Amino acid sequence: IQAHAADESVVLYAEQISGADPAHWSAQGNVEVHYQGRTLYADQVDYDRNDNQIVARGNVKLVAPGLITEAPEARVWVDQDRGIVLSPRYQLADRQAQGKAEKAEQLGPGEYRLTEGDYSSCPGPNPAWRIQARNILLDQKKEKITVRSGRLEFFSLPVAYLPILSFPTSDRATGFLAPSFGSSDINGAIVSAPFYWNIAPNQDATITPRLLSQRGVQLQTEYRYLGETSSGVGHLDVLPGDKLTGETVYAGDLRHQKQYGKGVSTALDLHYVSYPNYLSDFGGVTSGNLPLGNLPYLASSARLDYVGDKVTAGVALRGYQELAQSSINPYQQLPQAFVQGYWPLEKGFYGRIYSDFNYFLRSEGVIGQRFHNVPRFGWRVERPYGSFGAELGAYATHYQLQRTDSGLDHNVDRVLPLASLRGGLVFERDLGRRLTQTIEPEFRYTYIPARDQSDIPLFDTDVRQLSYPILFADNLYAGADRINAANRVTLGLSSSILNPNGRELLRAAVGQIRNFDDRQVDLAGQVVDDREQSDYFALLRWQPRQDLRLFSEAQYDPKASRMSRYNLGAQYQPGARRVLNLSYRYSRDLVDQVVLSGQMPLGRRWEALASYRYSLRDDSALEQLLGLGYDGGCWATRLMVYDQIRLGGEKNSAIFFQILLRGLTNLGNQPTGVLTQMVPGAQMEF
Amino acid sequence: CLLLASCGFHLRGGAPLPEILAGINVTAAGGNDAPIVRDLRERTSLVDGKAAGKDAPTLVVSGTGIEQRVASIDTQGVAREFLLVLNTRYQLLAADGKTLIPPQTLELQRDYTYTDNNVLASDIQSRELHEELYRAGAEQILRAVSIYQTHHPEPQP
Repeated sequence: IQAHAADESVVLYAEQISGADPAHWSAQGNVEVHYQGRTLYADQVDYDRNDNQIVARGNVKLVAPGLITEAPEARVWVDQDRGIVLSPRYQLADRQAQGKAEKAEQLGPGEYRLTEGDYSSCPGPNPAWRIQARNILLDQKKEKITVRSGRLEFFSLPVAYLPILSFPTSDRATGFLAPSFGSSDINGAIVSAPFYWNIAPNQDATITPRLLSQRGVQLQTEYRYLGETSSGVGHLDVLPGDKLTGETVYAGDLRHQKQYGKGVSTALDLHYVSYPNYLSDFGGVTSGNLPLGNLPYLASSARLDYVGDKVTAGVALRGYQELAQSSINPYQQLPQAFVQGYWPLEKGFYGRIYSDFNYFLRSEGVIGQRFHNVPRFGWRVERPYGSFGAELGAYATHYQLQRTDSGLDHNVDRVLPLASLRGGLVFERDLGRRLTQTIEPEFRYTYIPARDQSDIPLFDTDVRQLSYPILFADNLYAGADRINAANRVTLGLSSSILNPNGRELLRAAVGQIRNFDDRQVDLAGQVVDDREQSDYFALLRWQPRQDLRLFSEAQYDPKASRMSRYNLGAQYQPGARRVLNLSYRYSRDLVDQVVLSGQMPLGRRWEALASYRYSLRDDSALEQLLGLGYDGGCWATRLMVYDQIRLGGEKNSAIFFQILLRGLTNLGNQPTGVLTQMVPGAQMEF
Repeated sequence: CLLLASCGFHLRGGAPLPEILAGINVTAAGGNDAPIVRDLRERTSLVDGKAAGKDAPTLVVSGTGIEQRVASIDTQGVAREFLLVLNTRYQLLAADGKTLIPPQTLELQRDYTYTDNNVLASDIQSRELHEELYRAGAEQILRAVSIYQTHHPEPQP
């Protein structure tokens, strides 16, 4: 049987409908009432058309958008978005949250108030956690829940009193994020309570007050935005009146980029910390988004760049903050400008130029301007079986120096010609199974005459670290203040195994530089006699299986018959959230260390993560991280124990603990950057 | 070459690399992919605007990024070696949208040592290795495309 109200805004189905008075209906047996986009089910319903009131009794179930309520009795006013339900159980359909109350009232569209109620996102009658409160206000429009005079229970134990608490019901809504608790040698006990502010769909901020028992109260802020052609993120941390250092400590960074079309872009990349160990003390796993603590320096720049088909150019202001040592203060480049161009001409000829201008500044010692130009003219032919090229060029550099040591010129010009020849052949064979193997011998001959450069200061120049592809460079110095003398040939032999898609399954290469002349330019700029042949440089990249990758590089000194440098990296990644990394690195008189790291699930709910760095040279463990995660469905927890070395050698241990109650606290942008630094390939689910 | 020949090696044949690619569009999916695409175009001398035809396949480069990791530290807690890891993806699509080479990921790495003599020189090494990684990435993508072309020659009209 079906009945309609006059305006048909209420439709009623029931086994039996009675009532002589058209203003009063009474329905019994599997009653179903549809009104205002809602449905009400009950054993018995009385409908009063005069004040549009429904009174339902017996197995009442109210299905409203996003909310299902079950109760023995309910009273609703169908045209007023109002209603009262006694002893309801409710479910937030899209949140997987549920609870009960003594009374629930609808106050308006999408607004409900529970009296003496509870809330939890855990299923079942004994939830792992729940909030009990005198008052719970659900606002569907603002996507938030406000609790008054409540308490948080964890496994039936009250853990927090909540005089007033608001939390979001959507993932990107303003509200508190999962708090974290921890302790470290330097900071003492730590409590963080991040607050997420959803400013606009393309902007948000996270504000984290942190209480550090040995330091004070720190405020960390993060702001992110995303535009159509721009994006950026900035951080500002302040800890006023730090108890450890006796002063206000702070740090900030800003990264911003904007594209203007036609290849023009600007970028800001600024970093500053108020004391060298700031990153060690406040970064790491206990806080997100700061770089790792062992960076020796922070580079900042403001850039304007142009990338065209033939020309790339840019202007930048660059500054450096040195953290590892403060005895020498580094030069700032104010500004640095560069242009590089490449123009293909007829028949394989081409022209190429690189020019840059730098003004190097610092508070003491020699400073100055450098104008450096490297024009080149070349010819290149490329065939499938190989390539050949020849190049002529020049290094033309002009310095205008101030505050030079006595006896040294203020104006220095250095012009050096450059000639080079290079070539290579490509042999290949079919390995079967649609695999191709290549063997590629190659050479490069370079000529640059020797010139004493001891009248030129070292602004930005040091010896370059050599490795297989870098062997073929013209200048083995990084920076333009020194141009090496060259009358040498670099010989290389490489081999690859490629699958039919051209993917490299294996690459191996070995090379050496052979000098024909004994005149070299050393870092001091003097011409010295030195005719040693270079070390041998080798590299191997191998992917024997889809889930296993190996990478190795070696530098072998044939005269001393020993390795100068050697490193080996292996990554085994048998599935999602499973990874094992091994890294061994050796550099004679400098580094001899091994890092083992990995992630793996332990059963269905547990997950472990670890990293261990050990120095064989010093016979000591350097850094260790152990993480454990447990996912209990409606709640999850993460524990991290972390040992690090602050700049200067002091050890710092930290422990960090976080509980996530799903549906109550989101994680926001959790710091996973540090974890993937320490355990490459790791993915954290929460 | 005798030794190589006896192992089945021969000089590679087929069309020259620039010709293989002369008819290919190269596009960057995002701003971060621009350096690799620039190197790809320069390498194949496509810069002089030899525009590919409407029916030409398109090489799409996406998801390019270089991550810097600390590779080793000393007992003073200072990073001694850095690792730069390039990740990028590429795929070759026919003009009708059909996949010729399915999306392939590419990871390359280079390292450098920080020697506290000159911070600026360390930064220059890092920036030059970024450029070198883009070049090496472009080189490997070209190699992949040329291998593909050798194994799947275009049907002659």
